[in-house]
This record gives sequence, structure tokens and C-alpha cells, in this order.
Amino acid sequence: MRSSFDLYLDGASLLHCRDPRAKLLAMLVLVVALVLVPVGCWMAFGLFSLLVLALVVVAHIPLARLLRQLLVVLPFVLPAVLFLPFLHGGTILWQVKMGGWHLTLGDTGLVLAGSILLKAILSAFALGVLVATTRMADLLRGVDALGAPRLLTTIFGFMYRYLFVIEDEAHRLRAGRDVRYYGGLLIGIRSVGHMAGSLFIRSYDRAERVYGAMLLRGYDGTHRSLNSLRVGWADVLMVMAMTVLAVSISLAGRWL
Amino acid sequence: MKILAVCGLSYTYPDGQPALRDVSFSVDEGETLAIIGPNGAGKSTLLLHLVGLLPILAGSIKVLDIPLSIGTLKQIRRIVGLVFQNPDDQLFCPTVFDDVAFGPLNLGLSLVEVRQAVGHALEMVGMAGAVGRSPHHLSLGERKRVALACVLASTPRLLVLDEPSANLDPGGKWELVGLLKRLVGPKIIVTHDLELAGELATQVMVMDRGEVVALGDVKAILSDHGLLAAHRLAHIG
Repeated sequence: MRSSFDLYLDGASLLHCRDPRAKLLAMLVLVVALVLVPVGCWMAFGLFSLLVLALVVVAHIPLARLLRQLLVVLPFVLPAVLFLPFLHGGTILWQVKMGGWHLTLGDTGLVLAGSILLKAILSAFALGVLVATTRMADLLRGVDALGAPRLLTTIFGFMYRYLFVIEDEAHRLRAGRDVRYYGGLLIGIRSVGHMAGSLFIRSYDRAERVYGAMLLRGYDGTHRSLNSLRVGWADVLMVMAMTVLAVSISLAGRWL
Repeated sequence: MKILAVCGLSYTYPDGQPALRDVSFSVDEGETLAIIGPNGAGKSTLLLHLVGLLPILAGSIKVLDIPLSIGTLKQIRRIVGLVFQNPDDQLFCPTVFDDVAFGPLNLGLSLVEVRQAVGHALEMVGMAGAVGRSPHHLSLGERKRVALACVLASTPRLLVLDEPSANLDPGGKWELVGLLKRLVGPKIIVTHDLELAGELATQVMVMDRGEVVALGDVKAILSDHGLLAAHRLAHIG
């Protein structure tokens, strides 16, 4: 079954073939350089947009898919973006009086909000490209090889592995409820609570069995794994090219 | 030498419910023992004892003459390989390769040896092409095969399978039977699939309510309709 949690997009593009560590580093450089672009530096934002768009094209990712993923990011950004134009001063663009209150829309806040929104969208696109072109297993291997704590990558690996199993279980529970559900808001809400509880207990039981399976295969608390990553010249080239491009765009934005 | 000898094993769950009562049996080197019985007979509880996942409250278990205790757990888990009923409990890694390599890696094998063990185990179950795939993209039949490969990769002397044919379609079941037939060495198979037991076992043990009610040659037991019907393994009449 194809799950909604499956972010990887099968393909053989230039980006798909790169070493996960190289991709992680390149995207990290891109995002950091992007974040450091000064507020209101539209030329730099334009160039970064072109760079991210080029990545999307090279990786053959449908734009609609990235836009859908934006829905996850926007709820965190939008509240700030909506309020900022009214909280910072600058040239007054629009003003409304409500009783004793003045609601003022200033240009400083508007520029700030626009910059934050652009940074958020472009970063989300860049990470969307990363997860669409790298299998989760490789991504975790890459994070591990770059020095992240093994415990963290292991836990994340378990989470990703069992997300799908738990999703299937939730679907079955919901189907079981739906065939006996004849409406009524209160009953509906209550049944969701029961389902969450039952899902928790099932997952807890499963965790015990999984741990048993690990013990049987000689697990003793240290997680051993084979790291079979190989860096090629193309990987080095990609990281270097990304660094040069991202840093120069960011700096150009500062100086021009 | 007997590969497994269980003597007077009893177990009561923490809530007071008795699960095993005075269970005794043994498995010889060339034997395949099928343990059959209705739901709740204590079959799975017995299996968990064989690999030391439940504590022995009364009785004893010996594997190749080594008594099972806290000190010998590692040694015994190296000899007895248990394949779980639900492959999702056994496949916990992001890729098939990582899962099959988990046991050999913990055994301290070298990189080359681990690769060899993984390749060999996957070949034995006919899943050599699935090395880089993630378990959630495999069908149930495929996941069961990979779960078997996970255990085979550590080369256990005694293979123990819990309901291997559960939830498989007839095609998948007979493929599995063929596969298990090709694997040499002693096996214990817990099942209520009498077809499967008849096809693979040399000995059959019938359990009901935590007790061994019959133990003997496969033909003698599976042709005893009265016995099977009395323990919900065949329809009455």
C-alpha cells in the first residue's frame, strides 16, 4: 500500500544518485545561506528561487506535490506573517480606526513578512527535494554518518518503520467503527478517543514483541549497522557548487 | 544427543491464568515436530519459553544438553531460531538488508561475512532481489520469507516457526511448505493447519489447555479423527 507518509519519489535523476551525506550537506548550506539573506533583498530571493526551481526540475518532482507539502509548513509561518505588517512601523500604507484603537499597516512589517514567507517556502521546497530524492533509510544512514547520535537515528528509524504499520492498524480500526457508526457528534468524538487508546495499547504490545525479536537476534543495547556509503567526485562537485552558488547569492544580496 | 529436551514445564501468567501444565517432550536431530492445538492451548507460550523470552517457573529446558538459564541465554538463542507469527514484529529495520544483517552483525561477524550471510539467507527464501527494499513495500508472503531469512542468517541449529501459514493464501502456503521442506535440520512448527503439519512433520504433539494430550508419529495422530475432534482440530461427526 502506498502511504501518505511515503515521501520518497522513485527515480534515477542526477539528484537521486547522489550520496545522502552530500545531499544533506548541500541542502543544509542552501537553507542556512537562504536564512542569512537580509530582509527585503528581493534580488537574492529571486536568484534563490531560480536555484531551488532548478533543483526541482533536475529531480523531476511535480510542483503540485511540493505545494501540497507546503500545507504542513504554512500553519507555523502564517500567523507570524499575518501579524507582522501591523506590528512594525515604517511608512503608513493603510490605517483604520476601531473605537480607541488604531490598526496600522506599515511597509517595514510588510517587507519583513514577505521575506519570512519566501524563506519558509523556499526552505520547504529544498527539503522537499531532499526527501523526495533520498530513501528514508539512506537519509538516516547519512545523518548517522555525519555524526548524529546513533540512538536518535535508531529511534527515528523505528518510528518511520512502524508509522506504516500503525497507519494500517488505524485504517482497520476506523473501518471497524464506520460499519457500526450511524452518526451523532458525541458518539463520534468518543469513538475517536477509544480508537486512540486502543491504538496506543496495540502499539505498546507490539513494542514488547519487537524488543523480544531484537533480543533473540543478539541485541545487547548497542545498535550495529553497516555503513556502505561511498562518496564520488559528483557528490563533492555538488556540495562545492551548491556552497559557491548559495554563499555568493547570499553575499551578493548583502552588497548590491 | 537430543537437540531439545523439555521436562515438566509449567507456567502461570501473572494474572493467575495457567498457561502450561507439566509439558514434557523432546526433539531429535533429524525430526520435525508439529505442535497443534486449538486457540489458547498454550502453544505460543511454550515457544516463548524455548528462547527464554518468558521465565521458567517450574520444570526445565535443555538445548543440546545446555540447561536454559539467564547465564546461557545468549548461547541458546544462537542455537534456537524463532520465527514470529507476525513478520511486522520481526522486521524492524528500514531495509530488508539491514533486517537480515541485524543478527549476523550482533554475532560480531566481519563485513564480508555479514554480506555473505545476508545474501545466502535471502537466496534460500527466494528473496535475493529485495535487498534494498523497505519491509512496508513487501506483501505479507514476502515479509514472512524475509522474516525467515532474518533467522536463517544467524544459522540456528533448531528452527522454530510460530503459525508460519497464518493469513497466507493457498498459493503462498504451498510455496512456504516447499521452502521449509528444502531446509534441512530439525524444526518445530506450531500450527493449526493440519495439511501443513501432515506435509512437514515427522512427529506431532497435540496440546490443549496447556497440557500435552498426545504425542506420536504424524500418521497415527493425524488419522485419529476422534482425538482431533475432541480438541477442536476437526469437526465433530
